[in-house]
Amino acid sequence: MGPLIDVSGTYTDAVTSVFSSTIAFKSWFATAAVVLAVVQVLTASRMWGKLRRVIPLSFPVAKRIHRWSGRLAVLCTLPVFFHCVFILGFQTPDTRVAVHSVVGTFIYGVFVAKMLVIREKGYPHWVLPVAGSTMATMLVVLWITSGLWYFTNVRFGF
Amino acid sequence: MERKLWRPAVVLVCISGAVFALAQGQFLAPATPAGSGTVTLGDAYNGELVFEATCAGCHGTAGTGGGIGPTLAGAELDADLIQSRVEQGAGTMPGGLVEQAEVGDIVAYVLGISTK
Repeated sequence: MGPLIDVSGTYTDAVTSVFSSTIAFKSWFATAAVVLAVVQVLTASRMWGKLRRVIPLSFPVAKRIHRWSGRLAVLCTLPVFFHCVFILGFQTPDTRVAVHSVVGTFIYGVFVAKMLVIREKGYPHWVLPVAGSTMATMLVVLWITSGLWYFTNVRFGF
Repeated sequence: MERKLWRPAVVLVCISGAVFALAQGQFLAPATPAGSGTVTLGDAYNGELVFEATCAGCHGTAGTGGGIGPTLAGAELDADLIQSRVEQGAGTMPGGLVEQAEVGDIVAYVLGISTK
């Protein structure tokens, strides 16, 4: 297990050269992902013909912002995924952590299923907005049970 | 013709199952450093959360100092001393600030930052 332990140590050293702790790092990246998820919901609403007065964007612009905010959101979740899955693992010591673990287990499955629905035409009309809404809701739940909890119960800072 | 929903459903289940299996493995979890004597080391990541909430006000974030407590990062402390200070206190620091169940966690965390 020696080389694997070094990966963890290198990751921790790299993260703590910028942030005060790995937990703070995760909290901020999760926060960025949630902010981008809000952008995702707003631009998706615009693409589906809603919020025209609130978001005065053309369809192509909303679509471009939707795609790039989605890509950035996924990028933000990758280091968090690495830490949560490979270092912390699935845990259920209390309700908060249990909810976080269960929702976190499913979020990439929902993400890939949503990508599949986008790529393959012919699904029922309601599937894509339901998949997108589910994904955004899961991200918010993950953030509430991690980042928001950290900022309000432990420390608000880098 | 509308597509069946079984394909994305199968993908969802397979990927979630794979993530769950990986999470169960905790393949990159750091090895718990060896304690000494009667000290039992716990989960350093939980210790980090407890430290930031309870101890960082005096010892600084990640034990880097700045408060009324001494700097712990790089202080080369041993597990027995850390446990003793956490349980019994020292100087202006009272003992028992941390719940007994979390003493092992915080000792593991402080041991980690003090030997960096």
